[in-house]
Amino acid sequence: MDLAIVTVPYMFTNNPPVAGAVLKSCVEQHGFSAINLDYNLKFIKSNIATDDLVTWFQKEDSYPVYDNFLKFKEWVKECAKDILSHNARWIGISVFTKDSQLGAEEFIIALKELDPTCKIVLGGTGTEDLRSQWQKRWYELIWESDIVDSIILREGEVEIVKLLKDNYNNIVEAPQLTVEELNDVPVPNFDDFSMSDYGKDTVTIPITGSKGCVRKCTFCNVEAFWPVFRHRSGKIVANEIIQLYEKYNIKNFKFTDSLINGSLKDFRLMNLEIAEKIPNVINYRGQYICRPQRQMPDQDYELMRDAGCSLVQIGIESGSERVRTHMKKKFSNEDIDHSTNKLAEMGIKQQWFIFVGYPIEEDEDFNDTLLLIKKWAHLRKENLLNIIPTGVFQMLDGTPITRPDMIDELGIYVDGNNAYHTYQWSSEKYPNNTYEVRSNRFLEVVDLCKKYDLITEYEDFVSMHETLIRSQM
Amino acid sequence: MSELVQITLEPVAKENKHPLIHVNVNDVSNEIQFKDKIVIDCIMNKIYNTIDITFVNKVLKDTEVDKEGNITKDLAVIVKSITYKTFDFHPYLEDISKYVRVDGSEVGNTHGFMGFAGTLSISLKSPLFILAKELSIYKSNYVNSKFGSDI
Repeated sequence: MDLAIVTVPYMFTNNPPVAGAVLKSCVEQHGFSAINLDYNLKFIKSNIATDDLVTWFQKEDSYPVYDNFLKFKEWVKECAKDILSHNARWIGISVFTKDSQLGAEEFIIALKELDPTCKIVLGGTGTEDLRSQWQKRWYELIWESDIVDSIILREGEVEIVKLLKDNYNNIVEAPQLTVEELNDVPVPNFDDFSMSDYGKDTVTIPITGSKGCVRKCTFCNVEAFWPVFRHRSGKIVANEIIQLYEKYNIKNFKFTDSLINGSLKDFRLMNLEIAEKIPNVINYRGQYICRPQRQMPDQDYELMRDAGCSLVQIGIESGSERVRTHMKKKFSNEDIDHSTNKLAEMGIKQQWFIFVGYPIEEDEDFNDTLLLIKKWAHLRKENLLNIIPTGVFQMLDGTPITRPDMIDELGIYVDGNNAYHTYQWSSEKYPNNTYEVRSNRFLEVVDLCKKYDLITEYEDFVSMHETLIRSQM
Repeated sequence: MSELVQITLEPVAKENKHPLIHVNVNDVSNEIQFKDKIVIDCIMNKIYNTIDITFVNKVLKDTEVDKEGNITKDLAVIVKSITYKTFDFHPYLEDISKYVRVDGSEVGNTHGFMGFAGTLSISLKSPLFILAKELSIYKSNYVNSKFGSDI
């Protein structure tokens, strides 16, 4: 065995991990062998997964009950024995988000204690997230501790093959895949996963049509990972969906793309191909951006419907055009109206993400957000709209808004502890936008959405934010 | 594996007599006599690392007490901090160290105050950020008990 691809706790899941399935197909395409081992799923289904541990994975200073931690370590040790029993030349640990860092640490330690000669490579976007306690990026902390053999940052599809060929010990920042390389990525291989473990009718297979984004929104860190928007041919993506449907009888797909309609030409091609070959058979969902009518004529919405688009997630973010313009979202209120109407007409559900407290947001802007929600709340009755209030604005590492020029422009106060990273950031230029104001706005949005029964998904996520925000007030 | 731990020591001098210590880090020894606060760099290059600080020149009569039993003069070494990156192991000294007099008897937790001739042995398992994590979890659960002992 050349590669054991290990998925570690914690990540929320209702599908087999796509990263592992893609990597498996990539290495097999070059004659190597690989196996996927999903310990995140095993963890979730075990009695080891206590609430305190799950909370700790998500918030590292919220320490778990020590006994539960010890049980988890014991469980990880058994998993490590299982991993080592495959005698893989390399063990690849997939760190999907920050939530997988603490789990990954335990797996690394257990593997190296059982077999110091085993070779471990890390990958995944979670490797680059900060490990708050140490104020370092997680991969730096791990590398300095000399406990893994290689780390692949960014995109692993091509680099993992190089690693298996060259057996190097290094940190490699893999360049963003070219369009040709993206188109050459084979259909993901999910053979190692039992689909029924991930739910019966609800199993949803992730699809990647593009990486990066056509927008450079000020608050978003996608650009830090994928500086350039690159997308696959719509026809290739359609064929991947068709093949996965034929091979696994999977009918639900969700796009990992930042935007499914980033490249309109390929989005159209994909819909056309699916609508022609398997009309009204599968369904897909993905993140979507409101487009003006001249860019997306009515036929595009019909094609989306016929190809099986069932839900689009839209980062509306704010009801204020002024705020969205500053964010560089680049769509107008008119675009929202057009897009919302057409999607509803086609029976395509919408899920809006909204947050409050963007630095320049004034009372009037916030009022626009409330008005927007009220305007479209009637779509809830037909189950065509739900809203996820995602929280109060917080600056993330690697986003344009944390660049010195923007920090300066917005008068964001920065102290030695980089408090601007927290909920408690403040602005000298917008002193009225206090944490209290932001929090109250968030709670008002949540109340309004609840009044119209618009929060029908991720209720726990919203409720967690409510609790968190109240606790910091 | 090579991780840097810095130990800060402060002397308590008795008149012109200053503490003399042997510092042994993973079998590499140094003898240090110090008049002012010092920072010792310790390279942790094993999985199980030991830092031994042996207080060499302390004798019984270095400690003088008044009629009420209060110490009036003394010769001592104070461990002020044991830092790894941003983490200080000092609050966990009880969990990671043992202080043994020359006669072999063990001194209870002194929070880093070395008032007897003897050796303070600090054990640090690498990687240190994992040890730090485990100590933090443990102490958040059991404030008054010792890490690694039965619960």
